[in-house]
Amino acid sequence: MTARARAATIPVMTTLLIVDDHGSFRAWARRVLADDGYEIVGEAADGASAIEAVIALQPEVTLLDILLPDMSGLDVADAIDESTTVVLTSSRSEADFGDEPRLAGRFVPKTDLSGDALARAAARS
Amino acid sequence: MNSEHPATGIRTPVGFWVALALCLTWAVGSAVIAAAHGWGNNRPLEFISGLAFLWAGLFALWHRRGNVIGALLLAYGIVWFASYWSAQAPPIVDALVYLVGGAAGAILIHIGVAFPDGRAATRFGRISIVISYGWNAVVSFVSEATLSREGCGPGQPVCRASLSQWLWESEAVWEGAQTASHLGTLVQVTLAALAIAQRWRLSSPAQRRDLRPLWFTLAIVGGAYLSHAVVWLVGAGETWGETVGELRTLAQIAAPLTIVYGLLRAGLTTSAVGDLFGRVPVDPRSLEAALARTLQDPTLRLVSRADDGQWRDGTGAAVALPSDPSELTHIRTADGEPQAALVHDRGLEPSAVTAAAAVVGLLLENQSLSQEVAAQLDEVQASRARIVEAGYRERRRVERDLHDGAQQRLLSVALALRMAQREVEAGSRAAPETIAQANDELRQAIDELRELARGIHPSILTDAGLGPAVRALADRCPVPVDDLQVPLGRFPAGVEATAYFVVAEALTNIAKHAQATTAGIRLEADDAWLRVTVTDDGVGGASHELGTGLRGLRDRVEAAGGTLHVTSPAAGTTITVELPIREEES
Repeated sequence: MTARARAATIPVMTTLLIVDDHGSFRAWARRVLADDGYEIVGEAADGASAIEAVIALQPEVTLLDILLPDMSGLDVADAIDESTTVVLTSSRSEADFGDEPRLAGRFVPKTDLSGDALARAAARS
Repeated sequence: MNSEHPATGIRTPVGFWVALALCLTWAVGSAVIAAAHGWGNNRPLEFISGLAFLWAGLFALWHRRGNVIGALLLAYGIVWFASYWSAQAPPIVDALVYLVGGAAGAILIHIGVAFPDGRAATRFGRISIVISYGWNAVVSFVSEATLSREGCGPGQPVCRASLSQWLWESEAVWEGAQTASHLGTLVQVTLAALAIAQRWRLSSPAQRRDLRPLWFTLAIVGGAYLSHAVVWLVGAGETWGETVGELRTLAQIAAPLTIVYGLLRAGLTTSAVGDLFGRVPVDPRSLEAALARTLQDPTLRLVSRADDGQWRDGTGAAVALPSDPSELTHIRTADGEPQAALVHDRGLEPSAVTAAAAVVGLLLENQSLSQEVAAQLDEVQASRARIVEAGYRERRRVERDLHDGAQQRLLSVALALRMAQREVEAGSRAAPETIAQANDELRQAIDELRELARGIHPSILTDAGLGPAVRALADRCPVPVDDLQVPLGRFPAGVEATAYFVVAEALTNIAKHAQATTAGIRLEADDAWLRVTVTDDGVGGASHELGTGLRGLRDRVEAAGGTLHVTSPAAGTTITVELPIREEES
């Protein structure tokens, strides 16, 4: 099998970093998204370690919870935007954050989380 | 009352005696000079009458300082004796005696219209006084200036001196002045009568009572003059005329005495004290000024006892109280402690000063109550704001707890079920395990919701009451509760809830901060109060100045009408809460 043929049958997996302060959510998100074809390269439980992980792991996509214990996910997004495609998520709805411009197009509610939803949001952002 | 009048008055007993001596000298001296000329039949009685005015004037000045009537009576007495100098003195003095004598009638009018408070009651009254003085001054001057000197000349001693010696003698003008004088008397008496009637009409029953001595005086003097006129008209014998003349002089003796009696009797100062209520001055300096005006004692000082027991005046300067008790009136609080004092002239009427002191006592009491109420209101408002803030804080906590707890668990359940669904669809054997994990998450979510609900309001408190609820709190407390005493029976829901949260918060504090090995909870109730005591053997140092938790507790307790005390020395803390057991209004 040629490399080209392998590329066609086994798609190159998108690398993903999951940032959320709730361990059980991270665990289940990892299982669902891995099942949907993402390569989970790391997890982070707060903003500071998320920024470090992005530098260290260079994930293509970062699933970033907005409500983090040490800082706002929106501020983390500002810090890592250049290095990774950020998709913001929360157990709250988008409307709960008002007209936050940094949310536009790249927000996935936790209740709707799936590989497809993540891919769509990543494509928009 | 008499605020715009300068305080005319004699201040000290020495001054009174000196003034009396001067008056006596004036009276006796005048009489001696008159006696050189021979005393008429009525002279001794007239002398007493004049003395009566002088004495009455001094007495009134002494006892009703600031009231112009005393000065008027005195002036009338002086003028009275001035007439004794007629034809005895150098011509210019003699002329002046006649001029001044003209004022006598106006002084009487003034006394009548200004009785009893020294002020005309109306503008009309003031005008009538001014007219009297003006009219008498003009008529006296014109009479003096134009008096006929016919028959006067060297060696004619009966011809008295007059201003016309130096001015323009005119029989016609003099005659006119005499007519004006008689007419003037009629006009002045009429105006004065109207002014007095006006005062009567405007007076309250108490003020009318004060006016009675004036009626009495007017009745005696008027009666005496009337009978004199009648005797003269009917041409009764000389004996009658003389008798009635003496009666008139007696009436003149009675008049000043009645006036003074009326002045003393009038509740002027005391009723003026009542006016203090109407213009309650807030700061001590204005209150002092108002008192000085009211009691007509410019030397009056209002002093108050500072917290250090020192007496201080309105400026805060320390003052020594006078040793003479008649110069000092204490103002006492409801519990009988002197909180302030009036330092005043000892000539002030004791009843008026006592009344003023009572008024000031009420004002000060009122002021301190107002301050107390204002302080309480401030505290209540602050506490209310804290309770509202605590409510918001509690809602935020509940929202956060829901978000971090049950909501995250349920999201995990949702993801787990989605996973399980895929596994079932794919025929994977992992599905049962995934569903079991979802079930675990769900169970934890339910546990967390139950905890949260209990934090909001424990169902055991509603269902089983305070005793079992507190027992459950003690069971869950990580610090063992060795001493637990809870009451049987139920209390009003608000009391149970407050007591419960006191215990819950206290146990939370013990678990978090106290480093205690044991804790104790005692709830004791009688008919009216529920007493909650929570103790620990920890490090102590708790204070409701410090923690928002304890402060929030105190707010809740005080809102329920109770009290919260924290004793937290170097070791161990005791929180004691007393709550009134009141049935809630539905």
